[in-house]
Amino acid sequence: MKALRYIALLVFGFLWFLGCSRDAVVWLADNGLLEDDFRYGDLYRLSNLSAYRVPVEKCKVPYTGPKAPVALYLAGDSFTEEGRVSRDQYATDRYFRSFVADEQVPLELTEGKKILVIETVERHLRERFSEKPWMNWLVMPPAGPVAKAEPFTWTKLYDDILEYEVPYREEMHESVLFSSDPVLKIKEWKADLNYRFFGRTDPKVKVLKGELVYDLDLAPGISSVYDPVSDEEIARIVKHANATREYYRSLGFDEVYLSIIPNKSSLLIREDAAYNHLVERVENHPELQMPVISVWKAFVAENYYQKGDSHWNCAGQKIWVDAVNERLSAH
Amino acid sequence: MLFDSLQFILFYIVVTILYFSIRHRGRVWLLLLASCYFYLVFKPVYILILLVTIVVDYFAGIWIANSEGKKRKWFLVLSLIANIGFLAFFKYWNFFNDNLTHLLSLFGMVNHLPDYELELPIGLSFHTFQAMSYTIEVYRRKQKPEKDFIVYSLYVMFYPQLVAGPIERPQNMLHQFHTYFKFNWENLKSGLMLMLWGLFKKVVISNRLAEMVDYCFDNPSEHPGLTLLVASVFYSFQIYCDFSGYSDIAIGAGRTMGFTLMKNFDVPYLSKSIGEFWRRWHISLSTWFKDYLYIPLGGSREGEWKLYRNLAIVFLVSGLWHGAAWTFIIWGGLHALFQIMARMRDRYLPFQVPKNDVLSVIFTFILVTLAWVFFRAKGLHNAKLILGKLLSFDFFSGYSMPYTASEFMLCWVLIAVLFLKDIFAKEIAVKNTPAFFLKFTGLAVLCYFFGVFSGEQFIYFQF
Repeated sequence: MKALRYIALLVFGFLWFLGCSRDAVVWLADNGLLEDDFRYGDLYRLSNLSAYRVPVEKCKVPYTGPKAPVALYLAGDSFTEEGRVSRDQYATDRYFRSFVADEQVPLELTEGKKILVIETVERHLRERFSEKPWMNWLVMPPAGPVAKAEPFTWTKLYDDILEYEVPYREEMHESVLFSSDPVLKIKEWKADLNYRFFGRTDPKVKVLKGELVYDLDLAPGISSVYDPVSDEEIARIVKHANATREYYRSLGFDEVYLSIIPNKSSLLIREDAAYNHLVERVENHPELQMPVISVWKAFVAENYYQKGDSHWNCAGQKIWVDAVNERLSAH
Repeated sequence: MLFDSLQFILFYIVVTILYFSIRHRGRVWLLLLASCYFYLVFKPVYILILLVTIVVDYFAGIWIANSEGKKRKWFLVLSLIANIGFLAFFKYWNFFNDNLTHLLSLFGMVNHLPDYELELPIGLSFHTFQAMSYTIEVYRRKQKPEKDFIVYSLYVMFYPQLVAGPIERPQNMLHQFHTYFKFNWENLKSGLMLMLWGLFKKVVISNRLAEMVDYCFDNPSEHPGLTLLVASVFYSFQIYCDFSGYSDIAIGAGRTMGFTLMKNFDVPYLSKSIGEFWRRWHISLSTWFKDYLYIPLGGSREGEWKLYRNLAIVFLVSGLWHGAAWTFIIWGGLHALFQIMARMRDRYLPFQVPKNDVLSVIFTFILVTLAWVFFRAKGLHNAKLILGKLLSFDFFSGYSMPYTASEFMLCWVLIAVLFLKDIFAKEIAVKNTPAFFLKFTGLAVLCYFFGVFSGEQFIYFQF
């Protein structure tokens, strides 16, 4: 009985510790001790609806053609993150990427030709360009002075105390405890039961015309495909995109491209009268000087999204990567 | 840390196993450290408030006990000022300041007092009242001062009831912290069953009803009378399941370790009068007000009109205790008014009003539900709007809801289940029978499969 008690204590104590230590969870995942809870897609991970349990395609096909003498700087979102598109898929050896929403990203420019691609999913385009030009990258002089550590002040200490949070993320416990296939089966029973009888899904996702999409795309707000966007706002987005291009060209980039990846939901409701047609209106705006890398037409022609994921499949990804490589080769 | 979170489940398991693995002195330390951690998870910095009040009240208790005459009173006043001071500043400063600004503006004057962006420390009203009851009881010589600082700290911070009660009394709790409870299967089973039932009320009933309530109360002008009527009734059950669910989990968690916390609810919606409702709803708070405000004011001993005055004071203060807004004060005022009117009816009407138990229960429920509108509405304007639509009896101009028809039906079934459980199975038997294990497993399965794990806080956390 005593031994059982101590074993239980060890097991539950360790599980509790995992919820508080991201490093430990990452270490377990890196060493293959935890299953990747995104393996069936981000939308499946949230909804657990059995109909959408399809393994996410792994599609890192390296680029085999001649490399272009151009550096690619990519400010992208989850569509182009390292786990999804790797650096060897591009037609260049000189590659730098940061998350498009990160601010104040310090950047040293390399010698020679260089292009900047700003890739953003449709749902976040307005957040990034409606109010001001995108200028999140700070170009630093080569080998600039190292910033000194912030000196100690009582105000800073007070602020640190006020802002201190006990480290814990429920998400990590979810990953550790509930992402194995047998447990997912039980989660599917719950999800299917609630969807079938009550039309209830996880609040972050919706089933739209038989496809799983983010609720963020449909719920009222700036990210919604139904949120009316005035011509003035479109003109403002275009003006800010042009200003972004001018700014980064002035800093040494040879060209700056905008690439808007359509929402999965937009392609499903593009015939609806209430759809705001954001991608087409920006891309086709007569005053847009910033060149675009567009996948809209290709994505309208065919479904290039994964079943349980909000991102493109391998074929969709290839269309975009080919388009980027084409621009690289052209310089 | 929310009771319906995975974090709490693991925390609870680890702390409980550890509790039964160590000796008595270690247990007190363990529970105190666990309680600190439990509180730190919400907003760490506010633990400093608890620390200050604990230190002040601990010494105040000893000084009160060791002194006589006026000195005793002064030490009590010191303790009350410390407790009420924090409460007044964090909870009521901006409310009174806003009202002062409004009042002065009527006379063309400007209020120069600053407004602060204050986040209310979680559970402040609860632990403040619990701490105050200690020094008052020591002052009244009904409780010896607690010499052990760790035990006293634990009395204020005991994690199951730290943030939303039950608001305990020193006579009930302090001696329990000095007691060594042996592991007891019966306690474990009944405690876990109570926790599970509380969880069921929270995640299956309350969180589900909350969707309808939020849907209507967030934008009442967009909804017709019938929708608002359903939402108001649902809110009555949402808040009951939310708060009594929390209390059940707290009492159950304490029981598994051997502690007995006071009962906080006793089927309040079966009350036949508002007075009875308050003997069944949030019992730990209503008895607190009775012992420390109503009776000191004179209670019912000094004539009818003073009784009315005392009722009004107690319920207005109770409204203010719940929240720094006029809606809460009106809510408290309405409960006072209902009780005063009932007493006047009994005293002054020349004939006896025929009474029927069923009708009394329904009528009391209607009054309570109407008062809840003020409690839940976002501001006075919305409350008036909702009550206007309800009291105009315009229930045929449409209906909308955020549910499918089947889920709407489920909501009513759940409310019926709630009543049936409260009437026929107040305590579930915990003998080692297959029926018990079946009930326990069944309830756990229902919690998981029908639970709405929205991550929403318990309603009473905001107080």
